[in-house]
Amino acid sequence: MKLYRRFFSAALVLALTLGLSVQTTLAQTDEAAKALGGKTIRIIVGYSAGGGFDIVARVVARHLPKHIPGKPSVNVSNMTGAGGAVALNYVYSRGTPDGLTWVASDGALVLGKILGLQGPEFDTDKYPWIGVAQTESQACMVSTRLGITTAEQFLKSKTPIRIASTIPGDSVHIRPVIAAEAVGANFKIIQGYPGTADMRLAIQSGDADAACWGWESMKVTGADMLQRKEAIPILQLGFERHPDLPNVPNILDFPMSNDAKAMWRLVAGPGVIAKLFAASPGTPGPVLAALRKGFGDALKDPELLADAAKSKISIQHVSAEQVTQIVKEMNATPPELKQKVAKAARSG
Amino acid sequence: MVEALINGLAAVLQWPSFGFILLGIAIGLVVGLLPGLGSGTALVLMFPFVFKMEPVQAFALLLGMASVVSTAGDLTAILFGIPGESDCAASVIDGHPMAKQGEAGRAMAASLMSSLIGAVFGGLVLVLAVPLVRPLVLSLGAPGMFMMGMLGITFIATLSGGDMLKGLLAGGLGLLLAMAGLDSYTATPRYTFGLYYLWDGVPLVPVTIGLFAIPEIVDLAIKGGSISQLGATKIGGVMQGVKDTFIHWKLVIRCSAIGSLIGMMPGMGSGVGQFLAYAHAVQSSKNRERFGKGAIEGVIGPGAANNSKEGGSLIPTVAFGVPGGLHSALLLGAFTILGLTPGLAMLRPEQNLSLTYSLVWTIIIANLITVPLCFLFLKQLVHLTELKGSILIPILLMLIYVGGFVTNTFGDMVMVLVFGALGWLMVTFGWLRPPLLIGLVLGELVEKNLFIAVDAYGGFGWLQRPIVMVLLAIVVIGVATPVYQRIKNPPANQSGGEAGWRLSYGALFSFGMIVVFAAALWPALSWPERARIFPIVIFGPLLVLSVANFIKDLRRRPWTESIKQAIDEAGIDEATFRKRTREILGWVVVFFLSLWLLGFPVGIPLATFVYLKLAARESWTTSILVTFGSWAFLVGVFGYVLDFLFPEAALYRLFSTVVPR
Repeated sequence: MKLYRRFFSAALVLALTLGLSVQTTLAQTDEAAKALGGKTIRIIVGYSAGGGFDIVARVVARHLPKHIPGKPSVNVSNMTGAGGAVALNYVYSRGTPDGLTWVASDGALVLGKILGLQGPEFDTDKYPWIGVAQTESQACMVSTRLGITTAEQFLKSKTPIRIASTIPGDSVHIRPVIAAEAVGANFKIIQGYPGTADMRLAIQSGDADAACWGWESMKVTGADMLQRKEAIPILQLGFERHPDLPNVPNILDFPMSNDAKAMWRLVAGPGVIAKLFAASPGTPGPVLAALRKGFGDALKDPELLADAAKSKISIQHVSAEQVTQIVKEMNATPPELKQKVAKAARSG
Repeated sequence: MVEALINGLAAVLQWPSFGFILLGIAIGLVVGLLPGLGSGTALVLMFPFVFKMEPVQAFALLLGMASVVSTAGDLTAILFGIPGESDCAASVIDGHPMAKQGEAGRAMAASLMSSLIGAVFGGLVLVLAVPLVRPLVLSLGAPGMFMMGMLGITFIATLSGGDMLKGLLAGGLGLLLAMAGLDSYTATPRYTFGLYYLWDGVPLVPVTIGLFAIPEIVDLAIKGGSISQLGATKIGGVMQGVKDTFIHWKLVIRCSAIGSLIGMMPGMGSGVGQFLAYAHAVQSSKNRERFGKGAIEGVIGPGAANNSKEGGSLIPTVAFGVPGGLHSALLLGAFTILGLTPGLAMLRPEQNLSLTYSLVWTIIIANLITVPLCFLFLKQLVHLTELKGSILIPILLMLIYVGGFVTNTFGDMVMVLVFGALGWLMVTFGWLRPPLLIGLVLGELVEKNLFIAVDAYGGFGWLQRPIVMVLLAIVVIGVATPVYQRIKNPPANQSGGEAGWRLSYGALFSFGMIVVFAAALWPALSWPERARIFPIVIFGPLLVLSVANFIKDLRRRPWTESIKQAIDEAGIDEATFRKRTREILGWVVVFFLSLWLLGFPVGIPLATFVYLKLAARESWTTSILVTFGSWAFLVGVFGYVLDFLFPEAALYRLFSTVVPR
């Protein structure tokens, strides 16, 4: 009897909560529809038109309206500067607090903020994230000229391996640097390339031996090179192996100290929040909830996925809650390790 | 190969591909003619439409547009002194003076003809390069790129005209601007004044627009009347222009080669080819004094180069997936959308070679249609130079501010204004602007690639490559020849004015250069090693040279000299000259302030109206019509069609902070 009563009251509470929450969700959707209906959402992309990030944002924008209450139209603009930080700073400080101004910029800037680098100027806890449209799973591509066929050879090479990269602090720079430190690899980082296409050309021309960047882009833009075995993927620089590359080891497969692991989690974190979308602070809760849900739904939309597949863009949704969790974990890295990473990110 | 060529042509001529070329041309003409409507933006806006097209059709549309924008952009550069596209800036230098002398028809005709030849040449290069592409691009590497950059920088000496010292200093100023931003080796912010805007470097478009267009607007306002000072513009000049192109056919071919070669090199950027072609036109001419004052070769050279680069820049795009320029970077995006993989497959007859060749045909056919089409409208275009200056000025001011808007931040507007002021000062005090642009477009390339070469091959190992040695030899010859010529024929003593020491405005400007170089050197001393090497090695000697230049300027009165010349040209007295100068400079600033305080859609039309009523004293009808026109253009084309992210009006922002939302 006692048990029955307990069960009954529990069921009643559950039903009430469920009912209430359905009702609040409906009310919230209603409120969001009222706030967004007939309006225009403007997504400000922190990089130039036609680039990798911009293409993703435009594909998302095309399919977003039907998933957001009130069916607002969605436009994409570009605001470049400071590696995407200008757009993030702008929307943080000057975006309209109504859910109509979004920013799309790289999660690496969140790491920059945590490390105290110049550029990003926002509070990582106060930015209302909407979610992530695409994660970045980094891989290193090594020239076959070297005769290296295994990740062990790559990491234990006696002669320094020349790795092409862009500018200190970029993910294509910081990850190989910290990876080398974590497992004691002999890498010589060559900075100064404008972008990944130039890094790839450097491997082909012999200016560099290897380079590491997002596998999703590598397999598309470097398809020819991989097909002709001019270079091969040799090592992954993330949290786990990418489904495409089950036989290519990840750096975490190699023994490293706990400190090294913590540093690795910090620098690899931005890969999970790579193509990051956010609204401006002050966006009302119900509107933000509706935007987050709509964003997630749009990324599951078969039409969007077909569009993306056609452009050879992979879509991986990471929810706002997950983003908040990752940012929290990155923030929780012990200060002395943060400093160590910051030093690596600053030094040439 | 021949079969692929024919198949490629057939694919392009087929309906609907051919229709898409025509559509591309129509869009390209508008985009090219209007400053502010960048071809990059236009390409991105067209992307959603190519999703469902066949590759040949998609490229007919995209490349059809991209390959005619420079052809049309040169016309705007010649007519108004505002480059219609960022790679048309070099056409302003001699093209616009020709328009002012009533020879707009001749200049445009020569530019169109050379554009056509350039486009065909670039296309042929793409065809012939197919077997050579890979070894050619791969043999360059960072050492080769560094040497190519150095080769370009030696042109600073060529472009310096009579006053080598001022030319070198202007080139140095360009290098200084090129260094602004995050240093790529240590990520040290250099010369950024704490502004994130400058982290990615100084953007080329607002700089060229400010440097070239604002002085022309000032000049137009001072002289009064219309752009064409001679009024009766001879349309007959058109035939002369066509003839000019054929008279200088060797120059056209050489400049086309320069354009395709630069286009072929990833990382050189679209600004470089046109200026190197211009420099080559100057270098190869017997009387260099004519340049900058309306020399036809100065129109032909860049005209050919900025069209031949399209074919050239597609080479690394197709062969490696590494874009050679702005357009090809975006076209690379289209490759992905259409499911094509750049690489050897694009060069193999059994695979996609005929598609590659269809790109060549698209470039050639688009220009074969566009050029005659432009000739049909040349007469109407020439008449634009007879429009009343007072009506043209507010329209041009709107176009330069809209045209400078590239990063979608207000910093762009400040750049237009600052470089407009610098451009005006340089013109007034007899400093040449092309060396500055050479320094700006090549500075970063040279610094980056030198460090990469040193890191990749150690110390001087990179110098041992054959291609590097060949380029080094050319660089040495390039430096030695002008020096030798100068020693052999020392330039006439151009002391200008009576001897004696006096501090003129011109000397003050030269003193400003000392301050600039000293200020550039000072912070560099405390930067990390790699970040400071270039600034110290370059600005140290330039500081010394700038002192020498200042002392030289104390001995003469350049301000008075050039003012006399300008007054003579305008046919007005000195008091009127000074008054008009002050007024137009004021209006340039008024337009800036108005758009800053009130934003584009309100600020610009308002300033236009006030200018027309107060300064130009136009009738109510004219004032209202022009004002309405500029408003409709801003709101319709930029606001509605292009969905421009206009910067927030400062007054509105102030208001919203005082009264919380």
